[in-house]
Formats: sequence, C-alpha cells, structure tokens
Amino acid sequence: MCKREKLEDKYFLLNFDHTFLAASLQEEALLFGADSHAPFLSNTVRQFQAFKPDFTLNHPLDHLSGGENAILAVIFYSALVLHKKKPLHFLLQNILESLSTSNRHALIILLTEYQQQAISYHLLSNNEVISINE
Amino acid sequence: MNSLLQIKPGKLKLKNRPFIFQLDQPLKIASDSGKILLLIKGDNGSGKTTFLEQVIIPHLKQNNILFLFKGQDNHIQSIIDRSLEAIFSISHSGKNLISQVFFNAPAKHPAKKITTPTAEVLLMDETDKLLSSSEFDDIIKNPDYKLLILISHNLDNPEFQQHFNLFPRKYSLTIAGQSAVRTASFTKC
Repeated sequence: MCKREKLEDKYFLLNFDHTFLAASLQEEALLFGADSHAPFLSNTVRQFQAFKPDFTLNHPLDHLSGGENAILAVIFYSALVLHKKKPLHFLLQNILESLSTSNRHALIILLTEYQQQAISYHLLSNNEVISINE
Repeated sequence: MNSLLQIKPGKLKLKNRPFIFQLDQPLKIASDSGKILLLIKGDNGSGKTTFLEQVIIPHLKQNNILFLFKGQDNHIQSIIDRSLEAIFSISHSGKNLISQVFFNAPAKHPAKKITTPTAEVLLMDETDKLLSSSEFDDIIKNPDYKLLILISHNLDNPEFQQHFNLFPRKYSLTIAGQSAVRTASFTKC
C-alpha cells in the first residue's frame, strides 16, 4: 500500500466517472488506431457478453448502466494494452466498488488472467493504492 | 403516519427502456418518528437506477414530497450542481458529496438564495462508495430527512452493515433479471 501521489505518473487511472470518449466500442477502438476487425475487439465483446449477453460492437455505450460501463472499460483497455504490446499499470478507482458481488468476483477472475500478461491492477481507495493481489 | 411511498404492485411501464418492471407487492412506506432505510439492490444492468428515475422520483414529484437526489456519476453530478448553483444561486451545504439541490422546493425568486426546507427523502445512487465510513455516518445521523433510499453494492461490507443497522426500520427492493420483464421484490427486513 502506498500514497497515490507517488504513483500517478506510472499509472493509467481508470475512474468510474471517466471511462470512454466515443459513443460505441467500435469508435473507441478507432481512436486508438484499431479497426473493427481487430481480434482484441471481438475478444472484448465476447468477454463482456458474459456480463451482458445482448452486447454488440455497435451497442451505444450510454445505454449501459454505470456498472456495466465500468466492467466494459476494464476489459476493453486491458485487451487494448495487450494488443499494443505495451505493459501498463492500471489504477482502478470506484470500479470494483460499483459492481454486484457476483460481477466483482467474475471480473477479478478475468483481471487475474490479464495480470499474467504484463498488466497489473491496483485499487485506489481513500487515496491509498492497494495491489489487487494483496 | 404520512405516506412517503405508495406504489401499486403489477406491471410498471417505462419510457425508452426495452423492459418493464413487475412489482410483486405494494411498495408502501409511511413515516413515523424513526428513520427509515430502503435499500435497492440487484446485479449491474438490472435496472436499479431506472427504478429510481422512472418509478420512485415521478411518484415523489406527483405527491409533492420533497427529496434530494445524488446521482451515480460524480463528475456529471458536479456539473449539474455547478450549473444549478449558477442559475439559481443555490448554496451548497459544505458537503461536496451531497447536492444541496432540492426538488419540489418552492422557488419563487430564483435569482435570490433559496432557504432550503427539510427534504423528507434522500436518494443516493451508489453514493456510499464515495464516502468514508465517518462521512456515511454523518449522513445517517443527519436528523433532517425521514427516508433514505439507497442503491448500494456495499451490502456485504461489515462496516456499512453496522450503519444500515442504525435504522430502526429497513426495507429492501431487489431488482432481478435481464429479460423484458424485470422483477422488483419488496420486503421488510
């Protein structure tokens, strides 16, 4: 556990209140130079369908609930990081706190899989940073 | 005892949503001398916020029950608060997390500062996740409101359970399902 200020420059802060820029996942991927046929995008959709079965690539993001939006953001950005092959430390703020118990467990299982692939996740809680493995 | 909520059971139709709610029994809460808690729970995407926005808030408006609403997205809520503060000169209480915007409040002279009356109902959409234990305790001990309606995923957190237990009367509303008909089950705890 350590203070947030010491880590800010090394982390990608994913906050519940600030997730996507674009209106759909497909458009969000375009912003990062990925086309709609990129395998990481179809993986993202497939993984998120475990939480929301009727989700598609063009689903309007503002039709998702707050918690669904938070889950999708974590999955999408994790998959994007692997696609870009650039390791990254994630700082999750109010993401897991926004999920039901079953969804929180399901997402942590997914994050554990991503964590083995050069991504690390940490939780920001009351301005302290906690590793998800602690 | 005054009625704070009295919503009939059955199908509850919604605007701009591909689903409806099926309320299993009357959602009836009357006020007395003690504080009351209504917890709304359910999976992500089940429709908890929609129930608040399209069932509970219209009911409160229709019955002229003064309420205070803190939305789920802190960023958007801050923008709304700032805009309303600029437009109506509504003052903040000093607590950044609780909007001092009262709905159904008499506002004859919007250019002047409004003396805010006591809200009977406080609506919090997952706001508990933004609060420390002591901040949440302050809200619970605030004598002004009668009913706290809280959407929360903190129900299995022992620290928050202690707070919930401070309410003499507790109810829960569980929203379930992902289909075109979502069940809303109301129970007294």
